[in-house]
Amino acid sequence: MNPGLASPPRILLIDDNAGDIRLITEAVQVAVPGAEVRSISDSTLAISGLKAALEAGEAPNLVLLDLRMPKKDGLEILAAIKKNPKMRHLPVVILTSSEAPSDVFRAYALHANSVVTKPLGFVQLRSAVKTLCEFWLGVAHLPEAAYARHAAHQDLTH
Amino acid sequence: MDKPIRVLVLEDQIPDFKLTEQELRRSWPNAVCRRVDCEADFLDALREDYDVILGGYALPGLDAMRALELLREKRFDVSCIVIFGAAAAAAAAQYVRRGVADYLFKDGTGKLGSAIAGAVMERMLRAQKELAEAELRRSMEYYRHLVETVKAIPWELDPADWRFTYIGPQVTQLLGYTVLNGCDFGDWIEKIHPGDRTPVRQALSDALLPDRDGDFRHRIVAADGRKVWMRTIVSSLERDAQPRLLRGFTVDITEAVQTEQALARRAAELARSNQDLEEFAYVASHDLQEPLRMVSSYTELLAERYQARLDADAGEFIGFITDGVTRMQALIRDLLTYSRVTTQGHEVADADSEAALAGSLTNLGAAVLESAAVVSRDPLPVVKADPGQLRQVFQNLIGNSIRFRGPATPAIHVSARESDREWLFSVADNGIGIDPQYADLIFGLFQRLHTRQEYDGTGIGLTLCKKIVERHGGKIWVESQLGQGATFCFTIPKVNGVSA
Repeated sequence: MNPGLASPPRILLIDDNAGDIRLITEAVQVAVPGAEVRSISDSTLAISGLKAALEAGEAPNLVLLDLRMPKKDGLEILAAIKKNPKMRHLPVVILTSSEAPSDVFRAYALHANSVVTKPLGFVQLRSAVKTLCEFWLGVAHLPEAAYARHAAHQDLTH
Repeated sequence: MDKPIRVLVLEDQIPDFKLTEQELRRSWPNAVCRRVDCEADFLDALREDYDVILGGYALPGLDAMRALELLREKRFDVSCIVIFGAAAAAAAAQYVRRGVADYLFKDGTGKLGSAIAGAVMERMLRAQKELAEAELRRSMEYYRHLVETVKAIPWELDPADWRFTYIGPQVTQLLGYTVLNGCDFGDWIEKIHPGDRTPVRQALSDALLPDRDGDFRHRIVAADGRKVWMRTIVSSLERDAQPRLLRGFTVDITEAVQTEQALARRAAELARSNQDLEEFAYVASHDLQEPLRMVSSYTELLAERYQARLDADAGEFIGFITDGVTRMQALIRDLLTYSRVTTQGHEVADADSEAALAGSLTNLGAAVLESAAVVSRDPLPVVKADPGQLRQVFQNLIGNSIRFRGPATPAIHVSARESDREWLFSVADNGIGIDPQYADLIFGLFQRLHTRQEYDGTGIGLTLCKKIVERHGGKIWVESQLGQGATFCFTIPKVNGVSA
């Protein structure tokens, strides 16, 4: 386990579909037993909710983000997170039902950390979520400061 | 031999006439002479053609002066020679002023021959000159007609002072302006659309350079306010050691431009509607799959969590739900694939159909192995096609041959035959065949001839083949009898017939 990880790990889920929130929560709880899952279903409240969590010292260790949502699109939220120096180190995994190549391309262009199409069945979903959580909560830890330096360097050279 | 000379003699004295006639015959033995002595006879005689008129100076019935007047009135072109009775130089001068060809005195009739020859020559020269002038007028008229009846405005501009030295009358028919020659170019350019004035000036200046003719389009506002698209073709004309002249034609091309613009709009609309269709297909598949995902995921969750509490019926019901979801998902995917034949099709290139066939067999690997199918082929050509789509057609047809195999080991043969305009491919098998009455039906979307228990599949394969072949401008059909195998044929035109 990486050193910056809260115990239990905090996972923020942004998805407008109640059915998906429940499914993904179920999957996360099997994958990372004891994980604290918070969900936001109104995408317009996503950024303010995230800011509030950061200020309260309860930053999530992983953000699971849906793409197609009414009013505020997942890509907008992704862009806002990756532009904010205080948030850009948070791993953001896009979980979408869209298979459009343009969505995948745009999400990576905005520095999404993973883009995954929601599988049709629950068993597949659970194994996908398990792999993603293990990777982004365990293996791929990027210390906040190093990530910030890396990102700043990228901005300069662009 | 020349035709005889014809002389009309105004004379009231027959002996004098005879003398004159005699004198004439010394020079022209065949001369035809007629004598008249009054106005009525004179006019009557003029209905025939005479080369010369010999007139007496003071005849009581019809003197030469009166004869000249009549000739002028009636517009006859006959040379007149007047014979004076006595030395009367003053009168002779007066006759010359009135247009007689020559005059003689009665005592000098020996000169009659040469006088007549001179008069005849004079008449001939006059006739030739008239003929040449008429020819010139006709020729000028011809070219003027030629230039001024084309549906274009011919013009000539002198760049020394930027004035038109000529503007064809078509400017009135085509644009409604009355423009006089000598019109200043500065006035004319006011009629050109403001946005085109600078380019037009530039193009005309460029055309003045050696070897730099111009051909450009611009808009003109017609007298009635219409915006007219014009094409101007201009050449500069080198004049010996003088400033160049600009000459050109300006043609109304409004219709052509409107057609071009409509075509461009249509192309843009088509591109946009392809884009829309692509977007629509994804959104539709996304929106259709989302509820499906709920059904399947929660069914799985239900089965997993409540396994102990569900009986055998519940297990069977869950099986039907799962099966339905799987089929629905396959249908959605197939629809997406179908819609992408045109939106995601690649450019037509030189496609090696042997490579396409090999690719399709690789993709069908498991089915080929499992069925022990024997696939043979003739040498296959390189054709103008989207290589990926050609592979897809082979794959679907051979896949069908394997799936709908008969009791014998599947044998499939792929061949190609060349004709003038296209390649004809065929995929022949020894499978269960197709009742000819369904030969068209099988190409319809989601059309199946068998239950899913007998043969699986959504019924998209042949529909895809049809759409791909038609995108390439070809045709696809089946030749088969029930129980006797099937041969699927499709054509790929040699010239690129692909549509977007």
